[in-house]
Amino acid sequence: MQYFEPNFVDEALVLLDRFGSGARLLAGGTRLGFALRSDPRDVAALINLKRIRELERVEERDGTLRIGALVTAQRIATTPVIREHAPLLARAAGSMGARQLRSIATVGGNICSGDPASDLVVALVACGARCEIAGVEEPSRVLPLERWLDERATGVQAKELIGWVHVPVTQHVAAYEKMTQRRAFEMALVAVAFRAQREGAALRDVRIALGGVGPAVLRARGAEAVLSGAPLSAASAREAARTAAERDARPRDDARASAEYRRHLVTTLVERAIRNACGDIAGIAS
Amino acid sequence: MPERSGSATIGSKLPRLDSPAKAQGQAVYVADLQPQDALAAALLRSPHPFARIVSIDIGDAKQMPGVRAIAYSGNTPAKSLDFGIKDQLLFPRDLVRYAGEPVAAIAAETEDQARAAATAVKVAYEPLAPVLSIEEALAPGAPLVHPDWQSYEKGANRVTDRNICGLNRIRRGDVTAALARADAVVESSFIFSAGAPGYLEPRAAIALREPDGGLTVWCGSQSPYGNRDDLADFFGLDPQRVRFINQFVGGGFGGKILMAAEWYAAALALQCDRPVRLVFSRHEDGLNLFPRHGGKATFRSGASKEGRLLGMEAAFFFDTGAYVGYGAGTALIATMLASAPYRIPAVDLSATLVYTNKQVAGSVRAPGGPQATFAKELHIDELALALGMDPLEFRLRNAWQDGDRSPTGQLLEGVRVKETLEEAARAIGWEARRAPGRGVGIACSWWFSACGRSEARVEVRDDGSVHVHSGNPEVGTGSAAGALPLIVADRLGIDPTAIVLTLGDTATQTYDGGVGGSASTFSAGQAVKAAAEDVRRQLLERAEEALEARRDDIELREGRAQVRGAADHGIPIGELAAQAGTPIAGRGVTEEISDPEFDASLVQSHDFASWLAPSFVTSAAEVEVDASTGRVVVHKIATAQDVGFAVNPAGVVGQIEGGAVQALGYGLCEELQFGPAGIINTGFHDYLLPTIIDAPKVEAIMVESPSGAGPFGMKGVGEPPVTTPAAAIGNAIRNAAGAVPYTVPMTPERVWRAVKDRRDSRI
Amino acid sequence: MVEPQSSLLSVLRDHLKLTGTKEGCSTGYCGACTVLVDGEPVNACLFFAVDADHRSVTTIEGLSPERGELHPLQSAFIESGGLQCGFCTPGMIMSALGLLLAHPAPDEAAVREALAGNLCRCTGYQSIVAGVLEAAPKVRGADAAPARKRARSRA
Repeated sequence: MQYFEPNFVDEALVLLDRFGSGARLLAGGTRLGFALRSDPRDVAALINLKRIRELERVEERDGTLRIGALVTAQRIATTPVIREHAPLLARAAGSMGARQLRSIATVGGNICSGDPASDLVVALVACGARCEIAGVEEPSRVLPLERWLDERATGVQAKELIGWVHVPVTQHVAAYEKMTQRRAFEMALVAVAFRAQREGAALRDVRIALGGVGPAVLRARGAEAVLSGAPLSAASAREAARTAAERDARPRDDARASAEYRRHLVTTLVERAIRNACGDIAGIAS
Repeated sequence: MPERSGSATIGSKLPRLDSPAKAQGQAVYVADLQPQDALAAALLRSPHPFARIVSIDIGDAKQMPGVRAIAYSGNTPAKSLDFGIKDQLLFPRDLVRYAGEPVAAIAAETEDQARAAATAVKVAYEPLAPVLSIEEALAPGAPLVHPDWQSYEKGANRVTDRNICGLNRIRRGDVTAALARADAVVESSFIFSAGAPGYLEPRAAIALREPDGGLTVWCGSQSPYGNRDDLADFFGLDPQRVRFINQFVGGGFGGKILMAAEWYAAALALQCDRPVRLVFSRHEDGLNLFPRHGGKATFRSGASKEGRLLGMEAAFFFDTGAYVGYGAGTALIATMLASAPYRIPAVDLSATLVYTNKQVAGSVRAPGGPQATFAKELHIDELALALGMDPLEFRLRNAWQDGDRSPTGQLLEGVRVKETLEEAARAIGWEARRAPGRGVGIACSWWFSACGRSEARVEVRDDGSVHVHSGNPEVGTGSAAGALPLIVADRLGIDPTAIVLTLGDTATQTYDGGVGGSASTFSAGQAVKAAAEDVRRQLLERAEEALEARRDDIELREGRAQVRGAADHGIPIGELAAQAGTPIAGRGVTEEISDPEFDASLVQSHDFASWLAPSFVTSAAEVEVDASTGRVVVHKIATAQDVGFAVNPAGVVGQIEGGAVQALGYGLCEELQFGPAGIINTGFHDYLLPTIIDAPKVEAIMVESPSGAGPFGMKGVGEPPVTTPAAAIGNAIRNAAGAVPYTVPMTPERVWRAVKDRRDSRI
Repeated sequence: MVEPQSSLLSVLRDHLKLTGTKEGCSTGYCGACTVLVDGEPVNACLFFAVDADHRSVTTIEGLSPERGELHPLQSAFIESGGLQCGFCTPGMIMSALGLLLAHPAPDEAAVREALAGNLCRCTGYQSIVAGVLEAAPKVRGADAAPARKRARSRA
C-alpha cells in the first residue's frame, strides 16, 4: 500500500485518478481503519487529506455556511458560527457517538460512510445542505446532499471528493430527536431532524430528515407536504408525523428493532420534533 | 460482635493495594506481555452450529509460511473434559456443536501467517439440522446435540435424558391443595435472554514448554490452580511442573473461571520450544465466551386474602448450550431462589438444563441469580397487586424470620430479610408521592457464602517487610488486593500498604479454589488470617524473650512488638526476624466447614440443597418511563445487603455499586443474539453494556449480621448485589407505567409493547 | 514496521511498548485505549498513527509528573475507589483529563457526558464521577494552563 499526503485538492484528485478503485481517502478514518487493518489487500493507495488546509475551514459567507470535509464532529458541535447559524447541526454532531469519536470523525468521512442513521447526515439533509465536489474531469460542482447520496448508491463518483458542505443560513426553527436502546454512545434506532421557516402560524420550506428507517438517510417528503404552507396545528403535526411513519419511512426488521417499533418511533419523534421547534405556536405546545 | 484487634484495621477503608499500579497504567495484563521470540496463534472455528466432521486435513496448512505448530483432534488427547458429565473434548472429533467452536489452533511467526494457515486447514463438514432453542431441543423427535448421551460418564445426581443434561426439584407439601385453598392465584411466564460477562479485557494466554518437560502459562484467570490441575491432567503432565502465573485480570465475572486461550496456547506450546501467544480480539472472545444462561420460567402461586403465601409452583428451563460445562450451578441455584426468602408451606420447584447448538453457558456472576430473582419477584408483585396489597407490605408479611426453614428444610438463623427490605424501602422513599411516569419497585432474595480450599503464607523478613502469598487471584473484586492485606495488617499490627502481595502464581504453592461463588475473602481470608495468626504467635513468642516481658503484656503495633503502655520498650518485627536468622513465616489453610443440614426427602437430584452462611439482599429502584418510546431512565437503585461483617467496606460498596449497574444492563439493554452462524453481537457496539450516562445513583447499605462461619463473621458479598436490581427495576416499571415486559432485557421496544398491549386490551 | 494503516494504538503498544493504554475492543466502542492528541481525547484504536505525526500524544505513562509521583486524577481515582479491575482506568483517566483541560470546573452532568465513551464493568461509575469531581480543583492548579494554551494554538 502506498501512502500519500497531498497538500492541495488538485493533488489529491490526480492521485484518485491514478489509483482509481484502489485508492482510499482518509479523513478521520473511524470506519476505514478497521476495514483496512482487517484486510488491506485491495487497497493500492491511502490518500490522507489532512494536509489540505482548506478542507479544515469553517466560514460563513453570503448567507452560506461552508464547512470543510475534514471538520470533525467535535468542531461542528462547538464552533460558534455553526452553533449560531445551524444549531440543529451542532446539536446532532454533539450527540454523535462519544467524545473520543467526535474528535476523530469528520463530516466528509461521515457522509461517505453511507451510514443510514448518521446524526450528521440526518441533520445536514434537514438543513438543506449541498455538497461541493471536486472532480478530476470537471471543475467543482455543487449539488444537494440527498442527490449525492442517491448517486453514491449507484456508484458514479469514483474520482471525486467532497470538499465542503454548504448549509444555507436562513431564519428557521429546528429540532433534533433520536432514540437509542441505552441512553448514550450508540447508533440511533431512529433519528429525526426537522427544520422550517416560520411565517406567522404557517411553515414554509419544511425539511424533515429521517435516519435509521431506510437504506440511507431519507427525506420525509410526505410529511413536509402536510406542513408546508399551511397553518400549523396540533392536528397537522400529528398528521405529518403519521405520514412520515406510514408513507416516508421504509424501516425493516433487524437485530436491534422491529420495523413496527421503528415506524412508531418515527411518529413519536417527528411529532416531538415539531413541538419542540414550534412549541410556542398555539395549541401544540406539549 | 466480630473480634477486632487493637489496631482496628479491619473494617476500615483501605484503597486497594494494586490501585497505584492500575491508575498509572503499570499493572501488567496478559496481552501486555510481548516476549520477543513469541509465536502468534490463531484459531480455526466451526462456521456451522451443528455438523459432522467428515475429515480434517492439515497438510496444506503445515506448509504455509511461518507455521510452527498445529493442534487439533488428530494430535491432542481424545480425553473428555470433566464437568460432571463427560461430554466435551478439547477439539471436536466427530461433531461440531456450535458455530464458533474451535476446531484447530495454529502457531506461526506472525499473526497474519497464523490466520492465513488457519484458513488452509481443510475441514470437510456435513451440516446437520441444529437445535437452536429450548423448544426445539425438547420437541419430540428433536435432533440430539449429543447422540451418544447415554454412554457418557457422569457424576451422581446428574440427570441426563436426550437433550436434557440436568434436572433438579424441590418439593414440600401439597401445592395443588394449597392453591385450591388460595383466595388469589396468579400464573406468570418469563423469558431470559443470554448475557455476556462483559469483562473489558479480552481473554489471552501465553504458554511455553520448559526444558524439563514442564509448562509455564501466563494467564488472566479466576482460577489459576484449578486451571493448572485441569491442564496437567488433560495433557498427562505432572502438575508440579506446570506453572500458571496469573497477571492482572481485566474483569472476570465468572467468564474467566474455565480456560479458553490457555488451552490452545498450551496445546501449541507443547509442540514447539518457543512461547505461544494467543490474544483474542473482542470479536473472537465473543465467539466462544461462557454466557449467562438464557431460558424461561413459569410461576404459579396463591395467597390468602390476608396476604399469606400458601403455595408456589415454579419451573425453569435453561439453555446451557453445546456442553454442560459449568452450567449445572445455574439450575441448582434457581430452585433454591425460586420461593425465597418467603414462608411458603407448599412448594414444587424444578429446573431443567437443556443442550442446544450454542456457546457453552457458564457461571456468570451469581449464576441463575438475576434470572430467578427477576421471575419470582415480578411474580410476587403480580400476586400482591392481585390481592390489592402494597408489594412491600406483602413481602414483609411473608418474609423469613429466625427459626424458619428453607424450602429444603435448612434451619435459618440470623435472618435479615426484613431489615434489608425496610432499609432499601427507606432509602428509595417508598411512601413518597411521585410525578406521573415515575415509579418504584422492590425485590429481595438470598444467597450463599461458598468456602473453597485456600492456602496462604505470610512472612516477616528481616527488613521488616511483610510478604503475603495467596493463591487467590485478584480479578478486580478487591478481595485479594483489599481485604486480605487488611486482615494481615490487623493481625500483625502493621500498615496494610506496607504489605507485598504475591497472588495467583502456582509456584508459591498456596492452592486456592479461585474467584467464584463470592468465596474469595471468605475462603482466602480464612487462610490468610490463620497464616497471620501463626506469624503473630511466633512474633509474640520471640518478643517475650527479646523484651523480657510477659506475653500478655506485649502488643503488636505500628510494625513493632512493644510492651503495652511503654512505647519505648519495644522492638521492630523485622528485628525479630533478623534475630531469628530466617523470615518468620506462617501457613494457613481453610478449615473444612460442613454444609448445614437439610431434609434430603424434599429434594431430587440436588447437589446444592443447603447454603452456608446465607445472606439476604434487597434492592429498590426508582424509574421514569416514557411510555411513548419505552425509554426507561433509572434514577436510583438502593441495595441493602446483609454482608455479615464488612472486612473492607470500600470493597463491599464497590461490589454493591458495580453490581447494581451490571444488573441494570441485564435488566434493560444486554442481550446476546444468536443467528445460524452463532452469536451475532460479539462487539461492544452491538452488545450494549450500560454507560456512565445509564448508571443511576446507587445507595449501598450494609446490614451486618455476623455469620458463624466466615472470617470475622463475614459472608460472601460479590454476587448478591447483582441478583435483585433488575427485578426491582421491573417492578418499578410496572409501578410507573402500569405494565412491564416479562422478558429480560426490558428493552425500550419491549416496554413500549407491554404498555401498548395493556392499553389495547383495555379498549 | 509502522504501516500507513496502522492505528495509533498498535504503534503505542506493539512498537513503543507503552502498554498502559489498553485494547478492549479495537472498534472504538469501549474507550479503554483513550489517549490525548493535542489535548483532545481520541480512541487510539481508530486513530491513524500517521495522523499523530507532528502532534503531541499523551498517554497514561506521560501523566505522572515524576515516576512514582501521582497525578491528581490518579490519586483521586485511588481514593474514591474509582477502579477495580483497572483495565478501563488508563482510558478513563485520559478522558477525564481531556475534559478538565477544556472545562476546568465541570458539574456532574458534564463529567458523565465526557466519560460516556468509556465503559467500566466493575465500579458502577459512581466512584469514578466522584473521583473526577474531586480531582478537578487540583488539576486546575497542576497542568491545565499550559495544555489549554496548546489546544488553543492549534485551533
